[in-house]
Amino acid sequence: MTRITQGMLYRQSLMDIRNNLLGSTRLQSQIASGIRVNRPSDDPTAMLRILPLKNELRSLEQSLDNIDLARETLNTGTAALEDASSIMQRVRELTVQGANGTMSDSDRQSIAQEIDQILGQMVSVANSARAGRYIFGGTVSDVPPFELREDAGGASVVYNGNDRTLSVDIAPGVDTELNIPGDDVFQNHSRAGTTFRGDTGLQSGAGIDTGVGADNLVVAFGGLNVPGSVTGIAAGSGTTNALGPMNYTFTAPDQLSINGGPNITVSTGDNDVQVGTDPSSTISLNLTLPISPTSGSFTSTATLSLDGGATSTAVDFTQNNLVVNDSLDGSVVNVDVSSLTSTGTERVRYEGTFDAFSTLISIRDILANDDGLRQQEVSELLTESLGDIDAAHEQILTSLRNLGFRTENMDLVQNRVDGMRIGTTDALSIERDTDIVEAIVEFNQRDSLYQASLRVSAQIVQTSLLNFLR
Amino acid sequence: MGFGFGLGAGLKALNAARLGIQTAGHNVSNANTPGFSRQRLSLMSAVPFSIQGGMQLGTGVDVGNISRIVDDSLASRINFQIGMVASANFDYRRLSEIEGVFGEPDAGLSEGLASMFGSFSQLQTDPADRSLRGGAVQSADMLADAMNLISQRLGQMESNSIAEAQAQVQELNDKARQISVLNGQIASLESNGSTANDLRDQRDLLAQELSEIANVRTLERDTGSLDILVGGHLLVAGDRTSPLAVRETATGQPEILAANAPIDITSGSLGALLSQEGSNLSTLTNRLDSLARNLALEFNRIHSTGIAGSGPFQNLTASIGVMDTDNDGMRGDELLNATGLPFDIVDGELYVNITDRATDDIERHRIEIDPRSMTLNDLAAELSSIDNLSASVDPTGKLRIQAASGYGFDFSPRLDTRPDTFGSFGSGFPSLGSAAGEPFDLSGAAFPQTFNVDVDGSVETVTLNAADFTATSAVTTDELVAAINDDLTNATARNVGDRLVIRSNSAGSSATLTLSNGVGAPLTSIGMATGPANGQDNGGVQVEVTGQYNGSENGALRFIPDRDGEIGVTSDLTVGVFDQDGTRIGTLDVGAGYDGKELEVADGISVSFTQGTINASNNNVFELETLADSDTSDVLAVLGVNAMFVGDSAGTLAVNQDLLDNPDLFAGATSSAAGDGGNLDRFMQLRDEALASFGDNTIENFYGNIVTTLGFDVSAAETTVLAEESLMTSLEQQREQISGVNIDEEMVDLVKHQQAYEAAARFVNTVQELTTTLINLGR
Repeated sequence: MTRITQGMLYRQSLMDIRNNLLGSTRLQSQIASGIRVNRPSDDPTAMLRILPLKNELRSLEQSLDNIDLARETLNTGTAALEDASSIMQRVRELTVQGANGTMSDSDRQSIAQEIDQILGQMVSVANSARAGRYIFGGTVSDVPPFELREDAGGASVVYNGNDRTLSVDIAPGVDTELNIPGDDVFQNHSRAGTTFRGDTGLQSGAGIDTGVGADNLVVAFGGLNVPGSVTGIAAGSGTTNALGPMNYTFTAPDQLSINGGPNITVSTGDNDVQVGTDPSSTISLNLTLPISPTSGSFTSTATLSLDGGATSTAVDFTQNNLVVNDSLDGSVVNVDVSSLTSTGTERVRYEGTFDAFSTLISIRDILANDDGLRQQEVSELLTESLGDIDAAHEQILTSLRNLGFRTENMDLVQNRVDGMRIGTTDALSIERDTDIVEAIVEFNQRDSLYQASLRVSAQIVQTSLLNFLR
Repeated sequence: MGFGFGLGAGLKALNAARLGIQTAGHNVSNANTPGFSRQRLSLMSAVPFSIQGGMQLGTGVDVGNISRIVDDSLASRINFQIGMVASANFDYRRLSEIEGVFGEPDAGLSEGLASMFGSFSQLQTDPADRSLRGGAVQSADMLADAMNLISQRLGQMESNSIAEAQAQVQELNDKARQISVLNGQIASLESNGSTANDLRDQRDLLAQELSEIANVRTLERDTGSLDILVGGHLLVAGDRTSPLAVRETATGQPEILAANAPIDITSGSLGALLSQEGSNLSTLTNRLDSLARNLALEFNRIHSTGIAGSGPFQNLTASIGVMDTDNDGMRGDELLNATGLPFDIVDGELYVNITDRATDDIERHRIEIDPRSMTLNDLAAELSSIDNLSASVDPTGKLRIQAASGYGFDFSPRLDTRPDTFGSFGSGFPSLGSAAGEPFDLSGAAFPQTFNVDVDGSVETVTLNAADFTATSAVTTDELVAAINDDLTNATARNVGDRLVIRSNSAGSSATLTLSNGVGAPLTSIGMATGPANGQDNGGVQVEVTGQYNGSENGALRFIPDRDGEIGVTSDLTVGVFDQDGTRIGTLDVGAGYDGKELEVADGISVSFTQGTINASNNNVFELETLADSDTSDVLAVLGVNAMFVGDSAGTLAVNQDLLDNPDLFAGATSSAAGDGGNLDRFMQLRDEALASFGDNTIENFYGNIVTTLGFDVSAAETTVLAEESLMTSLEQQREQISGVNIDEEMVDLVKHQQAYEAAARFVNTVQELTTTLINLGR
């Protein structure tokens, strides 16, 4: 027969009560804190999923932070481009105004001054910065990406940035670019040949032209090149605008014909003899009669300059790819000089390179009209520039739309990341948090068990033979 | 027969009943005394008295003895189980403590890792922001601190275990002495044949308490004394003890000594303490150390090949010095694989970029690293041989690198955006090259061989000696370059994509370069173009590279004109693109109509040219190195050059102090542009990558596994405790069932003996009345 002792009863009761209490306490803390897994051993299997979920949650939260920061940067860019867009709008209005034939030179001068100011504004817009860092320089954020260089020969804007974009994770596996390199916004890289507008006979040559926008190429008279065998012919003090090799014939000692043109009466000491094959083509000569031999040739040489005379290039009237340098910005243009016949200014247009800056510079220079173009020519050039303005404006707008798409896309991503965050939080909560309903039901079960065990124990422990002995 | 006989029997009955009552009382009093075994009075009828007629007359009751009710085999099982419970409890407590040290999932390293990657990601949004950069460095520092703290606390637990073992052995020795004292008392008390019940109970209790500490075996002698054995050592023999001692082993773990010889303790709290030392704690420490080590290595790999926010470096000192393993008093003269460095340098190559700060042009140099044949001094010499760079090994064995003033250096894999600064591809300088790459066979003629270099009319002679080359039948370009440059002042030789190129030092359209054979016609053997080559005005052809290399292997692209002509002018002019094996991978059309635009080459790289003449007959060439990893040897990461982390264990991991002092040195970029975050992208990729060094796990998963394993261990230990305790309870219940006091039983005994007493008293009274009757009869 099994012996049951009071000690056994006490011990058993105590252990049962303790176990029940332990279970209840654990449940109670789970309910009170709302967390089921407080340390890995609470549920190691769940822990296997909790850690990656927590990591995921943290990186989603980081993504949301990044989105906020990215949006700020994109907004700065958007604001800058909106400014740039309204600047282009204003430039268009001014250009239309300037192209009006009733404008006087001084009116145009004042418009030119305004455009000059606007150019400065445009450069500072393109040098917009956020928190001290330039946003249009690619990843070169510490130096102003655009630099306006200007001197006697003209103006140009140099890009100091690079073509790199900065991308940031805005969702797991999704990143967005925060910036648009400024040369994609404010500069045009779709070079499409070079055109010359002018009457000198210059043509575009073979080779790689590197100029941007429009430039003036001045063809100047470079002196007479008279062979040593010819005596009595020297350059006169007047204006010479006919260029190239010249054949002369004296049909009489004072009758001169150049390139088979009509005879002109000349005399010694006459140091400014205009010899023209047509009214606009003249050579100024200083003759010492009689000339020997009576027929021969000399050359009216020319120099070309892109930088207002700072550097000039001599012409041999045969080359089809003579390189003319612009000392100002280092750009070059290749010209064909085989048909060059007269001095003058060629308006060089580097097609496909008109951008926010070069268009403004070009319009400003046309309006200032330092080369003394006729009113009608100015109007024509300005009207032509309207196309350049629209193209440059469109380029800015394209970038603006691009930023807009990114911002819009980011809103979508943000919603998605938010959704993912909620999903992950839920998943984490399922793994980690207390299922309150279940826990309370279980708690109640355990609690009633605990109460019951207390009650029964109390009964059992009280009872012994002593209670009945008298 | 007299009445006295009846009185005697009555007295014995009274005595027996009183003893019965007393025993019951003793049992009841000790109902709750730990280790108490109930006692039982054994009675026997007294030896009968023979009377006439052969009848036997009972003489009452005799008290046999008062004995303990114990089951000795159960007692020893309980002793064993006590040890098991104690060791399970100890394991559980210890593991829970470790679990607490890790602090997961809310305050542990997982948070540290995530916040470090988070701050890197945040820095991506604005790599030039000083506060974000400082934050990135700080977050790495916090991670290192957290790792140090865990390591330190695990270490403390390890060192505490010595003290703990000492305390436990002290307790064990105390109890052993108490048992030996009891042994003496019991032996002397029991020498008269009685049993010292209560002393034995006390002794049993002490034996149980010993079992709680260590696995003891008990052995009862005939004399009644109890001998105690611990791991084969006789701890208690009769009334003598032989105490145990604790010693610290070389690895810092406690060891138990008996009579100066180590003994094995397998259970009890002391056994658990010792076995925990041997297995779990050190495994955990090892895994944590491995995490820290590999973290440092992986991050340093990326960091060392990045560029700091402050641009290319002026000078750098390695954070780890090599050891003087050959004990000759000098550091740096040992081979790189035998310098006692914490990580291994492997066979590979290192690329160094030298940036001219004025022009931002870079010159890239390649250094072969073979740790089995190269010393740190050799590496320093290789670095010093690069123009505008000097390197040395300081007395503490650390590599120091310094750039000349106006220059900077870095080790990034970035593309050289102007790869032809030397000018061997139609630049302003006239240049002539070899038609093919190395090796060159110069063994056809006797040495010395000579050739003449005519630069703008002034002639220098180059003499090639057999001693200049390792093998004259297979001469390398580098050997030729070294030999030629020794003899030239007006021109420079250079290895361009394994080809030999000689370039005049003067530029412009009037500059000329002509080569002519001297003795032995070496130019013919090399396959050199002899010219004359002309320079060009305005710098000639400028080559510019854009884009980012997105290939996964290190390589090089070589650009070679297919014919002579002027870029942008000559029709059908093309440039061939070849990989480093000489295979044509593309052709660039740069003839008439080419307007200077970027031409796509391969793997994310584009190249553009300016106008100028390129020359196939002069063997024009330029090379563009395309790097995915600019240090395949890990030499930078191992030496801690431009390191992010220093240290190689969880306890020593720390962020490079230079970075903490100046967060601008944090290398988040792969180019010198201030806002570049190229290296951050690489760091972020590390987060999602399954890394071989982490057992094909991501860093965070590797750590997660450590934590989860720990969680399983703790939870298993808890289950073990419950199981052992429940077994213990059932054994104790069994013991209680046999030896425990049942009040009811004792009450019944009490009543029984009381009634027996009353009956015996009545008997005595009866005998007394009989006697009185008899006396009155005689009166």
